[in-house]
Amino acid sequence: MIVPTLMQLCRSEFEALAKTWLLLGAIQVTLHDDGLLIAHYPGDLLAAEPDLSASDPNSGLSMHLYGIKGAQWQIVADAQMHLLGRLLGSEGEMDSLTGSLVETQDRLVALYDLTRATRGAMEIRDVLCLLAVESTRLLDAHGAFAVVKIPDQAPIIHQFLDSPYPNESLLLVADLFFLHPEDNNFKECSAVPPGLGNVVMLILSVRPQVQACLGILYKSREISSPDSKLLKAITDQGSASLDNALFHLEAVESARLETEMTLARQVQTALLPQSLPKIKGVDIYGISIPASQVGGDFFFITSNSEHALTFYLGDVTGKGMPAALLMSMTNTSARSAIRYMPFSEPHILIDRLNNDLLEDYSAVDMFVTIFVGMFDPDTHQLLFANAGQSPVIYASPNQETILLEADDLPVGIFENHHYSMKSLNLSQGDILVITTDGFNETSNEKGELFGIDRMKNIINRNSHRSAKEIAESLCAAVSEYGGSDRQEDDRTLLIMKVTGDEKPVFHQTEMEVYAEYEQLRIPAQVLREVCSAAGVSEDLIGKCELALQELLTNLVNHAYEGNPQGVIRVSIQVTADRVIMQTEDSGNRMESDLDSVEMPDPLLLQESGYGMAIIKGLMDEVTYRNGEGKNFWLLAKNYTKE
Amino acid sequence: MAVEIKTVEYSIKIIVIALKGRLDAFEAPALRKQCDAYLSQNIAHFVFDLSELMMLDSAGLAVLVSVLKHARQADGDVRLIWPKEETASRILKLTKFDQVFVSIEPSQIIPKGF
Repeated sequence: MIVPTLMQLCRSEFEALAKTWLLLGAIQVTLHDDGLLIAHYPGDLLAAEPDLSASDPNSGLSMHLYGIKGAQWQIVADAQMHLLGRLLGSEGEMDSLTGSLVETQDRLVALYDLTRATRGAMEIRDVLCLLAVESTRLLDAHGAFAVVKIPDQAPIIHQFLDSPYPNESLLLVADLFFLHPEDNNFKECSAVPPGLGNVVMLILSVRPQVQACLGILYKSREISSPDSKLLKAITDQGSASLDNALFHLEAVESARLETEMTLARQVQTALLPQSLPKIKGVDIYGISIPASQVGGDFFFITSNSEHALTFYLGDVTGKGMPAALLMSMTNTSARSAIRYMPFSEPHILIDRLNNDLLEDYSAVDMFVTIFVGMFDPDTHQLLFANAGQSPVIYASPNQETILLEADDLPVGIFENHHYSMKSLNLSQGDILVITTDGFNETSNEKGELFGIDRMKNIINRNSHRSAKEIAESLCAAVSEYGGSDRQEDDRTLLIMKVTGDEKPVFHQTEMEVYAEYEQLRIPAQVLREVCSAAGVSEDLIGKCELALQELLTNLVNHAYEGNPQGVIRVSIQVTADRVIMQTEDSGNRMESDLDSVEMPDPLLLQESGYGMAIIKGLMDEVTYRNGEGKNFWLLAKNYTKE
Repeated sequence: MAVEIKTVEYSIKIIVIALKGRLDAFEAPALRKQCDAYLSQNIAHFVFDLSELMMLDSAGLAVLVSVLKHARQADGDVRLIWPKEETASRILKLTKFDQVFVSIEPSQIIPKGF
């Protein structure tokens, strides 16, 4: 059927036709569309039967002629109707084409609106809402819904429907679709409500672990080709917007977490000592480097008149936030125990800590190791108790550097466990290093552990330095060994050194020589230069030079037994009142006891055995340490500046 | 009565070894080798002129002691012209060899007033 308005378009053509018929003798001409009168000429209508009728079956148009008849006019009228029908048909097609063009343009504008709107939508729910509303409008559908499933979160569903379905039904359809994306027909599933059987489901591809889809309830099941292109555009746009929203969500979440972690780290750092006590004759230093933002390691150093110097270092099992929470609790507990039991001893403090914390630690199946020490700088006595903290390294001049065994149980395991106390009488130069296993258990790229031996060597090599410098050397060595990009575990250490009254270093130099007599002149020369520059007297330089010469000759003869491949590392240090010469070698261990060395009787005309006695005669301090295949010598001479 | 003349010829060979610079573990073996050569020729009188010596260590001292020991066994002796430098004489005092070696002046190498 041709709509009457359309007829308006070719009224002039019909009028021209009608006038021709009137000239030919017809008294009236009428035009009908499916039998309905739509035009007539001349103005007044005659109520008679037409003499001649012609019609076009395709368009349903017919023309009635009055007052004219004859077979020849019938042919003419038929041809005219046929032409008119074709004309109207073309007009109709044109119109419909224009219509769909307008429609496509409308949709493009709508798609643009969708893009613009979803770009601004940062929340997933907003994106889903826009998708459902806009795709309904764009596709002229009954309605639409969208579902997003993110792992470990409740599914997010949004529907835009006149009569909403239960969310469970929509989720069911979505799940069936996720299971079989190729199957877009849910009619056969009885659990799906009948209206949803015809839904067209579309995947919104976001990222592997996130599932998302868009369901469209079409008015008819037929989808035209432009519509399917539009669908593709909608789903592409929807996927991109959804991805953006997910990124936004993650960014917000990670920013929030980061802020929280930074705050937690600040709290933890505040719990660690902010300043280290300065006590005459003791050099103490501690540092904690957590692997993640927060860690389970902790230490504390305090001093007051009642109990001189009290310190502890501990390590909660595990890492990250759980360990950090327990660490804070344990640290606070330990500090208050020290504060309120000032006359107590280390093992009593641990007993109390164990009783206080056992319940909490048992509840989460964790425990904490801790070393508690108390040092009296007047008597040089160290009292300590060690609840499973390892390693604890003790380096003393002229003795082998040893590991103090962690032979007692960690805290948080057994109720009413009684910890034991030990004591050590420390002397000048003694060093106690307590660290968490983040040091010795750091592994290199081959998976080999840093180990206790390397730690001992670094301590021995740096024994003349300050506690802070020893700590820095250890941290640097471990960090280098493990590769700097990733720290596996928290690293915390506490170093205590009995110093006496050491003065700051003026000059310092280090060198390596082979175990050959000729090479020994190099350190002698360097010693001269360093000492002269520091203003040390010629007399004192001569004494130091002879002592160093005797020591190095001894190392060549006895440690390396003449093997010229042996390497001797020599370090020379000049402070305001002391010249310190140190050596390190990998030769034989010295067997005799330094204390028993005496100058041979010259009348016996012995040709050897003078070296060590000469050194002792010249120097104010001579110490020997041996550790893990290495010999460490320290010769020191005091002086007063002129 | 004709005088009876009995002539005995005494000849003492004294080796004077003047040392300059450092006599340390590196230089000692060369000196020892040279002294051993003299000792093997039954020479037993040595004077070590240490006046210009800059440094002496126990390895150098050991050579002097070794020569002294062998010289005494052959009824000889070793005398020292004392070092000017403390860096060279220090070890002699420290080991008390200053009380073992006879110290002489350069003019006393050949006894005067004989």
